Amino acid sequence: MSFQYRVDISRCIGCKACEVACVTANDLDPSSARNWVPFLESDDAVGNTSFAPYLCHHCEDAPCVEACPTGASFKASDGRVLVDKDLCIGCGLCVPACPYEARYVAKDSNKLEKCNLCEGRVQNGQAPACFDVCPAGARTFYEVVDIDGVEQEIRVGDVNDVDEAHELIVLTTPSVNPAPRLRFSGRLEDLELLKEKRPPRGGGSKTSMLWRNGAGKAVGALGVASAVAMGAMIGVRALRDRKERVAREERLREESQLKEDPENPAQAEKSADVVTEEAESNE
Amino acid sequence: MHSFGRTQNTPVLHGRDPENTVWVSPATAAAYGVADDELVELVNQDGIRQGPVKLHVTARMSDDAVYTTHGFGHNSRQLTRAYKRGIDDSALMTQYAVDPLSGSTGMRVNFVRLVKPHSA
Repeated sequence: MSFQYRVDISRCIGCKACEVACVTANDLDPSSARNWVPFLESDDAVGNTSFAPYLCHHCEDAPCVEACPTGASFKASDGRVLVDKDLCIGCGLCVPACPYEARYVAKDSNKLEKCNLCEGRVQNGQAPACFDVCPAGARTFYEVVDIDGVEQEIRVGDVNDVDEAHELIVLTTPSVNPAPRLRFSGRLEDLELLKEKRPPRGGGSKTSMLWRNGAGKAVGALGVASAVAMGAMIGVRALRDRKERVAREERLREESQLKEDPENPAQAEKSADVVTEEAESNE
Repeated sequence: MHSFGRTQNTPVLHGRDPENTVWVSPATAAAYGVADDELVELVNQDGIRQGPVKLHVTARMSDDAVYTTHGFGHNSRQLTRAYKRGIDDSALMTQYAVDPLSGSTGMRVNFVRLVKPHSA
């Protein structure tokens, strides 16, 4: 079994229930958490703001595992990047190796702390605690199962509906693509803000970032695109969103009309009678 | 995050949001010669002081106003975590105007200036 998860940063409301859930589910120092929700704000007065729900990306090609001198950091068979606390010497060499700053050395134990997607929960078919508590449906968790030789993603937990059609992209450094498992979606302006304004967490240095699509190619319009290109993309997205909204509203209206009719069957019969009477009188 | 002044000492919520910050516009920060993340104190028209508190410089603020979240700067030592973390905005509201008809109070009659910590 393997896992996939995604974060829609535009859905996040910044309540930090995920951070609290992380602390309580894993019995951590209350001033810390393995996940985090930075608040992003652009430099100009009319600029955009966004929250960015974050956690370990559990990369396929994890640089932190390579940086570990004792072999404490390892890749589990289910794809998770884990730390053997008995082997960890708290040297912190893996901390700057992670471009996402997902690792920190805990003050109380002097051992490396990182997300393990909630040991015990994932094995029991539950989503990790931070996914389970998200009231906005910003974090969604999937089990990847092999059905007749085809890998399929099955959503775990019953959080709010997700925009399945949303384009999913991953955040990497410009030079290295460690094949992160955390996939992002959201409004383009929010994603752009995340790339530009990702505040450093802990003592980590701020690495410049790049959005890539599933095939590992840089997503041009989100990269070094001019304001014009960004504007056009946002415009296209806005039009598409509007189209979807109108379609949804129409569907809702139709459904509500359908509901009204069975409630007043007498009315429907009456109108049918009128038609029949009229037809008769015409004869 | 917090529910007004009541949850600042809750361990896990304190960990998320331990203290408030004072927001000002870049022009205001420049006028006072202070920068983002710097510690400042606030002094109101009656000489009441609050601080030190961390400054947050943001273009989303107007030049003639300061902003801070309410519910910090507790003065009870029994609130072991929240004690003296951040500033108390209510302490700076020493003046108020009373509406002659309804009797309700308007507290936007207080003015503060930024000072460096431990200065006049």
